Parts: sequence; structure tokens; C-alpha cells
Amino acid sequence: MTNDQSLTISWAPPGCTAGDIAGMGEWLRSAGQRLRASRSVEQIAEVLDAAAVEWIGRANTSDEIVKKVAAHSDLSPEMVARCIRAEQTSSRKDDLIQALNAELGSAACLDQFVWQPGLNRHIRATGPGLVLAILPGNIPGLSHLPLMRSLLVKSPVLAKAASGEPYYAAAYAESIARIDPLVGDCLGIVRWPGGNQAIESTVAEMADAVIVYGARETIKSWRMVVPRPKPLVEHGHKLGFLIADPTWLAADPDRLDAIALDICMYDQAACLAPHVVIVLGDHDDSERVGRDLANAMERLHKQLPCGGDVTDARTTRRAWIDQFEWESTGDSRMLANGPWGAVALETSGQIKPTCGLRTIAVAPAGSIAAALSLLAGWQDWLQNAGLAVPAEVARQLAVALADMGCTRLAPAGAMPFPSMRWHHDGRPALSDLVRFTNVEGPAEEPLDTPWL
Amino acid sequence: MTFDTAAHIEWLAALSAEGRAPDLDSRAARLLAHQLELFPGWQRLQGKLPDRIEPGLVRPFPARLFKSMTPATGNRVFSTSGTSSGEPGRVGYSPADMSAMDTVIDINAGARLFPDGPGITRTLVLAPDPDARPQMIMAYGMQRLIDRFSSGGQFLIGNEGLDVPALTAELDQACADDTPLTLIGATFGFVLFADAMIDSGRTWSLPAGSRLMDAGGSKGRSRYVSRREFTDVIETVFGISIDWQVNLLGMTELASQFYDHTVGQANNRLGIKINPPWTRTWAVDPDSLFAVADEERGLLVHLDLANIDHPSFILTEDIGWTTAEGFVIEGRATGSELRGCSLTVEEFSSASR
Repeated sequence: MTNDQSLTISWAPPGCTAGDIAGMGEWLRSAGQRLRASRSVEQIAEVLDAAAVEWIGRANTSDEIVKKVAAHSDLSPEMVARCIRAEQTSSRKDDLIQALNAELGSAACLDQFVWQPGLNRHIRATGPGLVLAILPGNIPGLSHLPLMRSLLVKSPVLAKAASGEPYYAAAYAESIARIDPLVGDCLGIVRWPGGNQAIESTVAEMADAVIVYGARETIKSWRMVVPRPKPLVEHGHKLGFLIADPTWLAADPDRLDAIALDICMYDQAACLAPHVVIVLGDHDDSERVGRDLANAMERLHKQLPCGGDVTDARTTRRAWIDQFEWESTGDSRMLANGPWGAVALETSGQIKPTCGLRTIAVAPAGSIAAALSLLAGWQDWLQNAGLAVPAEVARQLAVALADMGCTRLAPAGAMPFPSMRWHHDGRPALSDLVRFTNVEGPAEEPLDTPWL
Repeated sequence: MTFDTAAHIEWLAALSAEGRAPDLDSRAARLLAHQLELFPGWQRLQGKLPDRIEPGLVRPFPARLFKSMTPATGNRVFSTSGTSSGEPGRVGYSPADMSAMDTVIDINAGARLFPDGPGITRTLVLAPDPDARPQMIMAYGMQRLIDRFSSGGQFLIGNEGLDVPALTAELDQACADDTPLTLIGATFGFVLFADAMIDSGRTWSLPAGSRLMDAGGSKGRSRYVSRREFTDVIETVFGISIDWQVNLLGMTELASQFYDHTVGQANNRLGIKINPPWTRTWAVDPDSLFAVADEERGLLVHLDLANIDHPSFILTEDIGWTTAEGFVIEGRATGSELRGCSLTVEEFSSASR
């Protein structure tokens, strides 16, 4: 393979071997060396910004990629377009540079040694020579995130596209390549059958860092093949929830619409989405909130239609409804369901995930302590918490939720839209990828230290 | 009021395989009232029964919930083949259910598979023996066909799989003796056998009156075979024309089976299953559970009045549609796998174990 060949989009053909993919990896590694030598982090952020602008502008229901992703997934074209716009809106240059500054102290340390006066040192961050990314499936727009994070630390990335959503990552990489071919050369989007041990152990061995999205079993299997102490950034499945104060909700009808968006965005396939709304009140309060929420979800369905047809999503939702109703005791019951989703009242004192696909359980909790006790046992799975409560209640909840394991608290309506500066799953997503080099020296010798 | 099981079975026995029972609705209402008493969980979901028994007004019992139920002591238990989540259900058949099942097997098979009368053919079954697989309802039904309609027969799948030498010997013997055969088995079993025979250049021209009944289909198998391709291959390998081939739909949850044809008649409605008079089928909207129009896709709901002591009004996971003549199955709903990063119930459950 020669260096004048672009590897931006490389679809591993059937029968492709571990050696073929290793060849791609080596080519990407050399492209990464050229990137580090010729582009500043700010220039890379500008390329990513231009790609974001392109996708914010073109992500609509008539775009071919949007149509393709929708046809292949369970999401409506309207939802696919909205997902892409949402992800790219948080991927503008200022967001990217701020995220780097927040995590590294200074984005410029990826280009050169930077003096940190208070710490009496120079610091430089070096990204991996090659990142391997196992991309998420079925959440259009999200697959660009590991590509972007790798480029931001000036690293090339070999990415395995998900079978559930193989198109967007490739289309995004094509955009990058059009804007700056040298940056585009650092993106290799490939596919191979999941579980191919020869390929997976080869790529895990050759990469300097690995980013994995997937179910617990997927992550476990990558833990087995990624040699330690190589960085392995994991983004597993999580359980989102929202805590709502019925009086606070009643004060402004828009607040229920905001919760409906939290539930329905990405058709609830993202870890960001709540599966349970814990209502700080009694059964009657919860039932009222549930019924109002059902109306709000039905309204939202008209603007952002729920995807899937009779053969998949709606059948899955029917099965969940049947199971819920069969198992429910006491006052637990289905409050409403339709093509827009389903809302159940869960009074058993226990919560669990729904089937997604815009299905939500509403559970009463008479106090903050009762709300927290509903979450007991879920610590390993907590991540996003939505708060539809007055500020003073939010303050009381924040410390407890942080202690329980939540890594992001967001107001109603903001759950699906984390900023680029979020510590994804509680970790610094960018600085976890880099290696820092410190030069310790006297404070009186700042930036122009000759030997640097 | 106690349900009169004996009278109900007499009513079934008096029916033929054609037409529609005039008192189906009133019979169904009485039968469902009896079953709701037996299954309080279903009663809780349903509430009071209306006069008309149809989806949307009456809650069909979801087939997948059989895996959440424990069959009553004394019932014969048959296992389902499993749902998309892999767990098989267990369906209990009371003595009355068994008796009703025998009755409707006889009516249906007598009309559709053996319209020329019993004892004419020898029956070869490409399925395991019911003694080896007592939980398999298909094996039970096939044994019944041998007992009631055949001059003899045997099951040809054992622990080692299909006994190919025994089958080919039977086929050779039937040709030599001019004895017509009835071949019965799973669709894909016939496909595999036919593929192997075509590869080795072996075919037969079975005596006139031979017939074949396959059950199931080939979706989700290693090789998809269209219905037309299947009937052609069967004709090539066994010399049984399309008019003497019939496809059967059976479900563990239902005592009745649905044929798509009567052997010996012109077979020009491939794939349309015929409702015998004591059954009815609807395609329903998965959200509202109300029936959709003919030709419109939905989840299939069957009413089977041969189910006496277990639910007779069943919501399946089969996608299909109804026609003026019966119903068509497109395939099994696979369910929408949640491929995002949101936690699934199954994942949490497995991690918690």
C-alpha cells in the first residue's frame, strides 16, 4: 500500500484478513505522523468545524445519507436528521477547543510544550499513534464522536463501523476528506464480522489506544484482547432516568414537552434517554404526570415520528406492554400507548429498564429519600439523570446522585444534548487518550527555554 | 355456569373442515368466559367480556406469556420452539384439550390430507418419534395421522439425525410395491434431504396417490427456499406434483392446524392458510390490537375453539395478513433489537444473575 492512496473509506471486503486490516492500520499510522507534522490542533478543529457546519446544513429528510441511515435503522428520517444536527451542533470549533483546554489545560500542548506557570513546568500531550474505535450502532451522528476525539488529539483512527449503522461514519469521513484530504487520510472506516478473533486481536495489538462502544458482553470481549496497560476507553450501556416535581411541572406546560423530548430523542436508544420518570409525589400525582406526558409524547410524534414498522419496533413495544401488564400488581398499569410510544405507571417500588422505543415508566416517590432508594441497586448502570425540579431540590439531589454514580445531571429537555465538555461516563474523554510529558524546571525559565 | 366440555367436543366433532360455524361467536364467548376463570391473570387484563369476540374488544392472550406460566398438574405439557429471546414456553393440555385436539386433527386431516380415505398410504415422518420427544406437539400430531389414516409408517429422525438409508429404502420399496406414500415433516428437513439427493443424482417417481405435507418454512435457515422452488424440488425428487403437496401451520399453543390446500385438487393458492370452521384469524395493529383490513400487514391473532382449558384467543408474533380465503404468514417478528447504548432488561438481568 503506498502513501498516495486514500484510505478514508475502506470497506473491508468479504474474506478480508487480519493482515489486510493490519496493512490499513500501518498506513493510517503514517498518515497520523504527517498530520502531527503539518497541522496544528486549531487547524484540525477548523476542519472539524467545517464538517459540523456542512452536516448541520445538509441533515434533512431529503439527504441521501439520512435516507439511507433511516432505511437501515429503526429511526424515522426526521429523527435521523435531528440526531445528526444535534451531535454536530455540539461539535463546533469553540466547543472542541474549550473541551481540550478544560481537559489538557491548554489545547496548544498537543502542538508544543506549553509553560504552566502555577505548576512550574512545561507540558506536552501526545496522542496515540493509532486509535482503534469500535463505533456505536443505530444512533446516527454518534459514530462521529470517537473519530473527532481521535483527530482532536492528532491521532489517526481505524474505526469498525457497526452493522446496525454503517453509513454515517463513512459519510462523515468523506466530508472531512473533502475539506482537508490530509486530515481525511487519518480516518479508516472498516467493517468485519464481529467476533473475528484473528482480526480483533491483531488490531487490538497494533493500536495504541482503543475506544469501545457496546453492550457489556462486547466490552468484556475487548477487555480480553486489548493488552494492558494500553488505554481502553469504554462506553457501555447505561440506564437513564429523570426525577420530576409535579408542582414544578404544572407551573409551565413546556416542561412536559421537554421531558417528552428527553424520552423520544434517538427513539430512546441512547444511554442519555430516561427509561423511568420518578415523580416526587403520590400515585395520583404520578398518574397525572404520566397521562400528561403521554399527550406530550403523542404531540412530539407528529413532529419527530417514531420509527419502525409493524415487524420490529411496534411488535417489540407490544411485547413489553404485554409483559408489563402480565407482571404488574397493585396499582401498576399501562396508562396509554399508541404509535407514539407507551407510558406505564409503576408502583411496585422497583424500577427497571423498559424496551426503549419511546416507552417510559412513571414511578411515584413520596420524598427525595424514596426517590434515591428506587435507584438503589442500579449504581453500576447510572450515568444521565434528568432533573425537572426546582433549584433547591436539584441542589439536594445533586450530591446524592453524584455519590450514587451519575456522571451527568441535566435539566429537562437537555438530556439528549450533552456538551463536548462532558466527562463522558465520568472520565476525561480526551485526556484519557493522551500521554503527558512534563519538563520540570525553574519558574524563571518560561516559554523560550532554548532546548525545548 | 360450568362449561360443558363434553358438549363442546361433540359440537366440534359434528363440524366439517369447510365453511364457517354459524354459532362461532356465541360458542367463543362461552369458551372464553370459562378460560378467563381458569387464568386470573388474563381475566385481570381483559375485564368483562363483550358479546362479540374480536381483537380490540377482547384482549388476545400473548403467546409469549406461556413462558411465564406453569402448566397445571395432570396436564400434558408441550414446549414451544422458543421466542426471539430464546426461552421456550410450556403449554399445558388438559385431557379435554387432548380430546379436542384429536377431534380436529381427524376432521382437518381427513378433509385436506386424506380426502380419498384412510388406509391408502404408508406414512413416513421426517421428525423425531413422539416417545423420544414427548414435549413436541408436532410429533404427537404426526403419530395421530399414522394411527388414524395410514396403513403403517415410521418416524425417521433419531438421535443421529435423519436416517437417510432407511428413508431411501422406504422410497425404493414403495416404488417397487406400487404403494403410495404420505411424506410428512418439517419443510427444511425436506429441503436438506432433497438437496442431498439431487447432488447424488437420486430421484424417485412415487406411485400415484402419494402426497407430501410439510410444516413450517425455511425463513431464518441456512438456505431460504421460496414456496414455488420448494414444490418444484419436491416434484423433482419424489415425483409428487404440486397438487399433491400441502403446507401446514401448527403452533404448540393451538390444538388446531391450518392447511393451505386439499391434496388432489388444483393447487393455485400457494401460501394461503385456510381457517377451519371452529377457528378464525385476524391481523391486528400491534399498538391498538384492533383488526386491520384484509391484505394489510399486522400481527396475527387466532381464535381456536379446540383449545378448551388453555387460552383459545392467541396473539402470535407472526406477521401476516388476512384475505377473503384465509390468511398468509410473512414471517416471525424478530423484534427490534435495541442497538444503541441504552441498557436493556435482558442485559441487566444477565448481569444481575
